[in-house]
This record gives sequence, structure tokens and C-alpha cells, in this order.
Amino acid sequence: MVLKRIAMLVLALAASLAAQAQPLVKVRINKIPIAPYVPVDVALSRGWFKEEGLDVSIETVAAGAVSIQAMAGGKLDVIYTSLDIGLRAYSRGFDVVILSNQNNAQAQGKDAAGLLVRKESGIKTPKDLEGKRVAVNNLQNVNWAYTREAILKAGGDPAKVQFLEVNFPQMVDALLGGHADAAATTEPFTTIGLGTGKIDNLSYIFTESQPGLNIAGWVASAKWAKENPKAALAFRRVLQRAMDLLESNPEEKTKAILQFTPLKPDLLQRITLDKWTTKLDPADLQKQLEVYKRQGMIDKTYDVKTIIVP
Amino acid sequence: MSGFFASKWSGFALIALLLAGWELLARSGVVATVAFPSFTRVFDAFWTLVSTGQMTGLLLPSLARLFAGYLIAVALGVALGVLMGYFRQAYVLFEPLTELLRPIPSPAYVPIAILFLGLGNEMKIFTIAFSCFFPVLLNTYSGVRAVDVIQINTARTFGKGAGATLRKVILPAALPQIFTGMRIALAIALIMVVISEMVASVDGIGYFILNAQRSFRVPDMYAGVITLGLLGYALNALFVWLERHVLRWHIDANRREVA
Repeated sequence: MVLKRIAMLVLALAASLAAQAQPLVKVRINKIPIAPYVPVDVALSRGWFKEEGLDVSIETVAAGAVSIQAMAGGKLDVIYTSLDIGLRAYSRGFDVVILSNQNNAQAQGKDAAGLLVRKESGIKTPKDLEGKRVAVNNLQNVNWAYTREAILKAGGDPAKVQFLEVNFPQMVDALLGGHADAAATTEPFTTIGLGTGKIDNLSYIFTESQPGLNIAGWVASAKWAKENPKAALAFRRVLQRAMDLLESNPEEKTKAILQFTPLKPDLLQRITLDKWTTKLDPADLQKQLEVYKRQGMIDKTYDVKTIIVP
Repeated sequence: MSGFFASKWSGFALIALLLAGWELLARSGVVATVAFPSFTRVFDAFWTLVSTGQMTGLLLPSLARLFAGYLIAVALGVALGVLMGYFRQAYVLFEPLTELLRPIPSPAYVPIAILFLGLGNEMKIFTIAFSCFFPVLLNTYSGVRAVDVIQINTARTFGKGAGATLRKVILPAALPQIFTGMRIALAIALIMVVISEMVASVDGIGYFILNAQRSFRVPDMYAGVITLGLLGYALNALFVWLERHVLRWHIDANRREVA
């Protein structure tokens, strides 16, 4: 009996040594400095990726539209981006797969993605945005599309609205400085903006159009995913582990938000985060494709299941 | 055969050769096809823009901004350049400041321009004017200072006042150099139009390229870049024609044809 125990111990040690002796798989990713990204920061800070044999390095801080170009050029392996970018790039011939979800819109009520305006601008509904300027983090992305949906729903014409590209961290300044009349934000900038006392929210653009929308996640280069199938799944596992920790432990969640985002403690209670999960909802993604086709962002739809990594 | 290589047709033949090479490379699939569409696909996209009349809609706003910024830069650059070239007091007063501001790379002050001027045309025109100002300024005061002192003294012996000397002796003598500065500035103006339009705009060729990228319409992106190349070529050709016209008398006296 003791001998068997010792044998198992030796085997386990050998296995772990072997695992550690294996070179870590390099995973080059990007970062977008917003609240939904926090699980990645947490996982990195705790070395969880290394435990799974992954050498994850943040190569750039750039939004999806820019990061995907770098990935197409072979400089990044997996990127955090709004999922529409992966969906649309695929329809234009980019060789990508959708590896994981990261954050969904809330099913109802308050959400992270707001459409902020200055209180004194007199803009009361999305229809009033006609002839005005709206800041989005990337042109022609999910925020752009669903802001337009909100305008349509309010009876307005999105073609009469000017869209400007502004990075999330600069949106509140752009709004307060009068450079934009509205801003499609995410956390913590929605809360920071509303916390100034000078800003109102017109609409929760995702929750009101498509509750539970799969907003952003991880798109990988199909080549990398094919060459590193185990690493890809390990990456997703680590993300889920970090998300589970934060969703189940409010104290850790608070600590992480304060540590990894510019949110001040006094506004912490007002933040409305997206739901974190690595699980994708193919039906939701399919619905998004239809919206994008209607908005003229893609020529034709396809079956999203073909590019989701199971 | 040697006649061909001496003529300007060899240059166009080189371009044709490179385009053929591009087409072959793209079709062979050596480079990833998505990022590197074939020239025929790009030309297709380009031709669609031209034939549907979209091209004018793209170029007009950009050209308007370009010329506004450029002309402001030329006016101010020549004015200050003449002052600094002619008056030593003006030179020593402004030189440290201009030498400090000049090397700042243009994309670096776009954020500052946005802070003060927002994201509209004022910011773009200011950015263009600011970058174009310095080459014009530098070349103007160099040209003015290099005017042969004998010519200035001759004007004085003829009893010409400062104003007349300036108009009839100094400026004409400095004009070739001023034109060099203006030609450099024209190239810079085109660059700055595109940069400022990519930062924040709703129309123009720079915005078109950015939007094409964001929609993953890669052939359109390349078509936009080609348009810029053609535009730059056309603007430069126009400038050279203008220069040759204005400096007609200078060219014969001072230029040599390259053998």
C-alpha cells in the first residue's frame, strides 16, 4: 500500500516536472484598459497562465480594430476585442476563429454600456443625435452598430449622425470638452462619466436592443489555434477561473476593479459590470450578424458555428 | 535602346514592371491574400470609386483643408521669413523659438490641437498650417539672407527705398529658395491632411482609408493609398509647372538641365 502511494507520488512529481520542463507556449495578446478586461489582469498577476503552461504577454494596448490587423500580420496570437470584429473580419477573408467569450451585456436594467450625453446639451432621446457627433471606440464596430440601432428605435436616422473614433479612456473628456455630443462608453467610464454630475445616460445600447449580447471576447488567429489546440483551451480555462473567482468573491472583485481600473473607491458602488463568462451564445452571435448585414457592415451572413472553437 | 533608358519612359516602365510583379506575387499566394490583394482587385476598387463619382466626394474635403492650411502656412512663412532674413533683430528674436518648435513631429501636436480646437476642420487646418510653416520659413529666410549683397547695394545706389528693394530685388532673388520651401511644404501638407483625417473626421481621403480598414475592405484601403500617391504626384506636377512659369527668368539664368 505504502509502495503504491510512493509510486503515485513519484509519478505525479515526474509528471509535473515534465510539464514544467516543457517550454511554455507563447501567447501574445493585446489589452484594452476597461473594466471587462480585469479577469485577464487578475490571472496574469497571479501567474495562472504560467501554471497552465502558457507564456502570456501583452504586446500592445490597442482596440480590436487595430489589434486584428497586427494579428493578421502575425504579431499577435489572440486578441481581446468586440466579437463583431472577429465576425466581420472572417466575412472579409481574415483567417480567424472565436476562441472565447469574455463579457455579456446585462439581460435587463442598468448595463455597463451607456450612451452618455452632457446634461446641458438638451439631448433627451437618441433621435436628438441627428446632426450631432457620437464618440465610439472603433468605427463600424458593435458599439457603433447598436448606437445606430438605438437611434433607429427612437425614430431617428443614423445616417444623419456623425461618428468619431475615440478611445474609451478619452471619452468622458471628449464629451465634457465638447468635442463629442455623445459617447458610447463601457465601464468604468460609464460610471466615471455619470459620477461627474454633468452627464446623463440616454440608453443602455446593448441591453435595450439585444439583452445578454455577447459583447467582447477573444478572437484567435486560426493558424495559431490550429497549431496550439491545447494552449487555446488552456487559455480559456484560465480566463474562466479568474472570472469564477471574481463572480463568487465580491471582496476580490472590488479589489481587482480598484487595482486594475482608474475607478475611484467612492464610485465603486455605482458601477454596473458586464457579466463575465467564457461561454459563447451562438444564437446571439447569429443575431448580431443579421444586425450587421442590415447596417451594411457585411455583405452576407454565415453560420457562426463554423468559426467558434468548441 | 540607350535612348529608351535616357527618356522618361524608362521610369514608367519600371512602375509597370513593379505592378506586374505585385500581381504575380499576390496571385501566387506567397503572401497572405487577405492582407495583400492583387493589383487588379485594387485597381477594380479604385476604378469603382472613380466611375461612381465617389472619388470627387472623397478628395474635395481633403483638398479644401490642404489648400487652406497650406496657403496660411505659405503666407505666414514667407512673411516671417522675409523679416527674419532681412532684419538681424528679427532673426535673433525668433530663431530660438522656431528651432525649438520646428523639430516637434507633427503627430505629436495633434492631441494638443484637439484640446484647443476640437475635432473639426479648424484642428485639421491648424495642424496642416503648423507643419507646413517651418519649411517655408526656413527656406525663405535662407533665401533672403543669401541674396547677393551687391544686388542690394546696386538698388541703394539707384535710390530705391526699403520697400522697393524688397519687392524688386530681394524677393525675386530669394524666390527660387522660397519655392523649394513651398514644394517641401506641399508634400507635408498631404501627409498632415491624411493624419488629421484619420484622427477624427467624417469625410476626406484619410477618413476613407481608415473606414475601409475598420470595415475590413482591404482592396478599398489600398485603392485609397494609391489615390494618395496619384494625388501627390499631380500636386507636385502642378507645382513644378507653376514654379517653371513664375521662375522662367531665373531658370535660364541659374539652372542647368541634367544631361
